[in-house]
Amino acid sequence: MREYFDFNIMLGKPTVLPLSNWLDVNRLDEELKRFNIKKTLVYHSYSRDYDAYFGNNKLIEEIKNYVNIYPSWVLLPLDIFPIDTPDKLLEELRMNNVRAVRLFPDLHNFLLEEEVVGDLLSFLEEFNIPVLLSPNNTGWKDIYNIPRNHPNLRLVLVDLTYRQSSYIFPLLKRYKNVYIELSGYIAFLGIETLYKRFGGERLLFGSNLPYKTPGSTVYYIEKADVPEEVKDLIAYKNAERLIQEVKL
Amino acid sequence: MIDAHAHLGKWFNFYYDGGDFLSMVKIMDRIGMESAWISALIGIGPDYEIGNEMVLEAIRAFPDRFKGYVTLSPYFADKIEEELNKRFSQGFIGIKLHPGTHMYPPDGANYIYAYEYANRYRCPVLIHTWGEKDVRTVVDLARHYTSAIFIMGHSGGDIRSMLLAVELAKDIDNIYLDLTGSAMYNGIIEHYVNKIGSQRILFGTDFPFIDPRPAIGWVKSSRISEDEKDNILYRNAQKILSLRSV
Repeated sequence: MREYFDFNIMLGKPTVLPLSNWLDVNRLDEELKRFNIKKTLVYHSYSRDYDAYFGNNKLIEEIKNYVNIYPSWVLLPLDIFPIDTPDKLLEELRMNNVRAVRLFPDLHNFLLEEEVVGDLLSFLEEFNIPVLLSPNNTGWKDIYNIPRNHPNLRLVLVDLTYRQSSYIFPLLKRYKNVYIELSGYIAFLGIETLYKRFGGERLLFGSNLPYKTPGSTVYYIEKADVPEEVKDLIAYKNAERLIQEVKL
Repeated sequence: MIDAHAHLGKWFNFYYDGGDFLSMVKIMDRIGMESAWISALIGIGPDYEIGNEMVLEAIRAFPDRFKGYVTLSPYFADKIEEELNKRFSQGFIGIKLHPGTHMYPPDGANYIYAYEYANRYRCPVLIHTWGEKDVRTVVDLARHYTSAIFIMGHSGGDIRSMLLAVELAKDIDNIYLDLTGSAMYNGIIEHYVNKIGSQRILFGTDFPFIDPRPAIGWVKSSRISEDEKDNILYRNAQKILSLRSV
């Protein structure tokens, strides 16, 4: 059975919970074993739905006994974040082994303009720290501005939809550091099309647990008409490389 | 596997490779999908006649792999009787209505003949539903046309409507809840089976509007028994076909 590295999981209770399927760390561990997910990158619901700083610390506390679970912190513009300089942020990220960050611009009411996040993005770019961003939470024009202004930033688009190929293709074509997390990108022949046009090195397995089951994307990858070595890249190796290339 | 909610062709505002019936058969072979019940995307859009012709072409090319829904437009109500007779004589198996794209209420007067037809011949009517209002309307229709088989497309679509759909459809035997949808909420299959059993839950994917593989993975990895998965993935669709008297 192929090994997976899940780039898109949320731990903790979200505010909106119609099906009671939130994950604590024990339930997460069960899910990982069930789908042979050997490593994962997680963020905390409280970082998104309550307070980024509080949630990030809660995440570190909850996953402290799990070496295979990497923390992904939710960040805000440094002007409004308790860790308010790049130097302090570097120290905190190092101390907590944080290997990626997430931004929720619309939800957290900030702009992706250079005046607002330029210093933060430059810092993340310098240290190869991947930034996870969903187009559900910002406009496509803002997303296009990020690689234009920060071409070496590893930008991972998460929670995409099957209707977004027209936005995704030009980004992948022009910017070599844009990555696609696949849980939401369920366009017909989507994996095959992305592989044929752009290669398999920038495609990442993600589940979007607890909202979706890993079973969907695992099956999609396993049944994709691409070489086995490309499936290995998508399932695990690309994510592992991104995490290992972080310069902390 | 039988995909009871599939399509054919292209959609007007987003891109995907393929979408013709050859590209569909190729992927069906790859994943072991026995057949897909299709309506053409142009049919739920601007031209039901071209759409139904495209479906006929697919059925004739691959009679074992495709079964056809007759798509109807409420804006050509005077043609509905003729279209139904023509297409069912060509082997179509059900009726597809898309009140969403046509911006016409599912209980509107121009659809009545279709429901009467389905009621007379016990054939399936796949109705796109999105939102609680659509769910309630289909429930009312199913209570009125008790011999027709109502496939509640997307089971209301958003999570709130899907939860409502299973509550309202619990005691109405001629409603089947269709799993088709891009969200594929984690846990909803288990919730549905727990509420109404597995015998009125229908597998569908919207393919090629959406790729069918993630939905298959969703059902196969759900925490229900293998027997219940088999009901959802193909037995319930087989049962619907066996009920028809057309």
